[in-house]
Amino acid sequence: MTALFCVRDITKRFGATLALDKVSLDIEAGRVNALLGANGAGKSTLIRILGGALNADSGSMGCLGHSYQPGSPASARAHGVVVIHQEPAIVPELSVEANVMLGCERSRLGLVNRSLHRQLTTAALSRLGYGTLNPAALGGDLSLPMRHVVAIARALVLEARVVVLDEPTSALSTVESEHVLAVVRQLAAQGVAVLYVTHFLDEVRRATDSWSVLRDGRIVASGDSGSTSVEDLIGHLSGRRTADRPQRAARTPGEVVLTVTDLSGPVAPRAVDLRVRRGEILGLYGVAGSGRSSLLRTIIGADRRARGTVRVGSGVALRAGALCGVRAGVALLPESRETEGQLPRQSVLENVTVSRLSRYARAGFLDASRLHAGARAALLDVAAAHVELDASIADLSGGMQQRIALARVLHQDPDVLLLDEPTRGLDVGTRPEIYRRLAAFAARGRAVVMTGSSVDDLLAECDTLGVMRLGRLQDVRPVKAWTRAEALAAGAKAAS
Amino acid sequence: MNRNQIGALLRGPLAPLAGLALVIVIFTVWGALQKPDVAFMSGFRLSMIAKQTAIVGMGAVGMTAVIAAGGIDLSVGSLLALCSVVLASVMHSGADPATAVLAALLVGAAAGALNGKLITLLKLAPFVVTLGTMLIYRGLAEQVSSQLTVRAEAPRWIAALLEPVATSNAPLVSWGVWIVIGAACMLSFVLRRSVFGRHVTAVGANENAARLCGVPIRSTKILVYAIAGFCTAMAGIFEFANLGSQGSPSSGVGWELEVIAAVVIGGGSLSGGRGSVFGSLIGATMMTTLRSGCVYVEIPDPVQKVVTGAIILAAVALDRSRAR
Repeated sequence: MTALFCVRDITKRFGATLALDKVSLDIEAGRVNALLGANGAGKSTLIRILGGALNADSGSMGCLGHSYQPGSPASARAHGVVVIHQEPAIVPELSVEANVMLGCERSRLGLVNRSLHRQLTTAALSRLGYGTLNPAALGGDLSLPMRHVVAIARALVLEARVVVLDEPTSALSTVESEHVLAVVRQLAAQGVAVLYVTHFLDEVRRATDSWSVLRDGRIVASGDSGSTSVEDLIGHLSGRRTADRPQRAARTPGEVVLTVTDLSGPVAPRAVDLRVRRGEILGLYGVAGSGRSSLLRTIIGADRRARGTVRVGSGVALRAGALCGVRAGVALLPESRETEGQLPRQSVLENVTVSRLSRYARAGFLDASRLHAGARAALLDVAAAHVELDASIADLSGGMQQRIALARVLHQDPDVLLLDEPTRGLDVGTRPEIYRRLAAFAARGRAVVMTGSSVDDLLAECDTLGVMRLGRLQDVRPVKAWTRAEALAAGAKAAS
Repeated sequence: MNRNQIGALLRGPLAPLAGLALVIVIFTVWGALQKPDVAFMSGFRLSMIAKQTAIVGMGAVGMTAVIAAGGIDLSVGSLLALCSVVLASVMHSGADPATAVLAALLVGAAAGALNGKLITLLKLAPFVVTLGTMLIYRGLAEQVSSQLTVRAEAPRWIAALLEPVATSNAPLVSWGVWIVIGAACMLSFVLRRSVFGRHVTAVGANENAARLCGVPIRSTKILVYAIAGFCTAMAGIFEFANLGSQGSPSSGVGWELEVIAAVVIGGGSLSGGRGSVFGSLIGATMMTTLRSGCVYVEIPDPVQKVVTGAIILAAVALDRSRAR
């Protein structure tokens, strides 16, 4: 039997780099095929080619037995191929219904056919098991997992035959991921061929039928999900068998460096008390919308504070405003890199050094050679020494951009480092590397507070774990005093 | 140097220069065919171009900083008029000419700082704020001058700012031109090499990220607009000299758009984060050369406007393709 969608010998070259080297792939109707690969393996390039955003240099694709050569994303859609990105395209100002019908509006005499819209939207949502979602709700009020549901419903209305999902769960908590995975299964059950790109190896067994691993632009292995272990996958991803997690260096917590008292924002956080010591890594677990990001942002002063105080070291309470937070020795790596985590179109040098320029200045003017040396050292800190300082940040892969953002906050050399999802978008090979650097940073007597969606990562890497729910800090304990199930239960949205 | 590298340079930093060269070549060839007895690049025309470029270029130098910081300043045309009537009025009242110059510069810098202050204070888009102050400054200019052109007896060092220095061999080089070049060198150095300059690009590239990095957003913005105001005041002084020691409250109507166009042609990005002071100067030269060239080959005024508009569009389209 020939597959619903097939890719044959796709090759793509960017300048001197061979991004894809004769990639072939089959996706069958009604099945979920996982696509795995480290950062820079060529996943994004392949997705862009499938979605018509990029043309391959050579090779061919076929859909339903016909040749498939999309010249643009619109033509890909017309062929029944839909790509859903990590942050689905949802217009916040439009209703769920308008969002589902976006780009496939049905009209009568030039006016939107509202009853047909309502009917199609409800039908599509019901097929995914979300028939109860209010079609009049605003897109902007939806949580990230619900945005994925809406985007997937849109694919159903478009009568997509092939849906490519690009890391839909990378920003979701463990519980939320389950919901999205269930929807993905529903989607396949409608006869759609699904290509599911992910970094989470445990999802392969739980939610997919088959898998393929992309490494250095080639498909190096593929197989059935039922008969594969996570260890095998890691081996294929990295090209070698990996050892166990390295033993953590012992850290002795010192004096208290961050004291948060009764901190409240307009919505979240709500009355949070927190103390973090030097040399301590505090993990904050919570589902999206639990207020974990708001807490970090309110601590540094980026979000408005309604009540409460923040104190760094033995100093006076911080005044409002991010500028005061930074000057007092707090740094924040924000969750959304695109909107506030980097300077787009600027060089790597500029991005790494922007928060601590005065260190290299005399009378307001910069010493170029010291500036370069400082930036080089910062890159070394995040295992990115080979990156050109003059390169534009936009030309780097997502994973590398994340490392540059991390280099910036480490280079700021704060007493208190706040990290919102620091390993988001990083592959399994890079994550331990980054965690190792963070541990070394904490061992130098700095405090680290990081949020995460993966309980397992937080339990493995932190000294203390706090769980947030509905804006409140539920419980803070040393990680040894938590079990995985307890932490998940404490953070679960529907808990009574 | 291979073809790729040349191509990259032409698409990048050298693009405005290539555009200027193209304009000069076109008019020289056209002129040689149409009126072989009068060369395009004659001394008279060059000094005209230099004069006009000094005024637009001075404004463009300051505007480069504003645009690199992700802002825009529509009030500079009105401010030009305000500064030149302040200069004329103070001088007319019998004050020392140096005091009058100082007063004009101070008014320019203060009005610019006010723009920046309002933008940061009201948290409004620079477009809206400076649209408002554009009317305010124009009104003030008319008030100060009682809606009349103010004549003043200016000493030679002001009146002849844009006249070529007599002893010089080069016909172009007036004090005004030197001042523009000096200001451009200074500002270019500051933007490239100072902490403030880096902060300007950071604010322009992503204000939210810059805020989280501890960049002082407010003071950076206020200073940027104050610089633009100061440069506009310099241009106002040039305008005063250009009109024969007169300050006119109706000067500089639409001048802000010429200045913005010069910056954009010179590689400045209206979405912020990028701007080249020398590029803007070349952009200004290109616009004035184009105008002068159109007069020379007797292209009627309406056609000239269409051509200028098309060139601005082409420059912005080029800018977009570079950003991608």
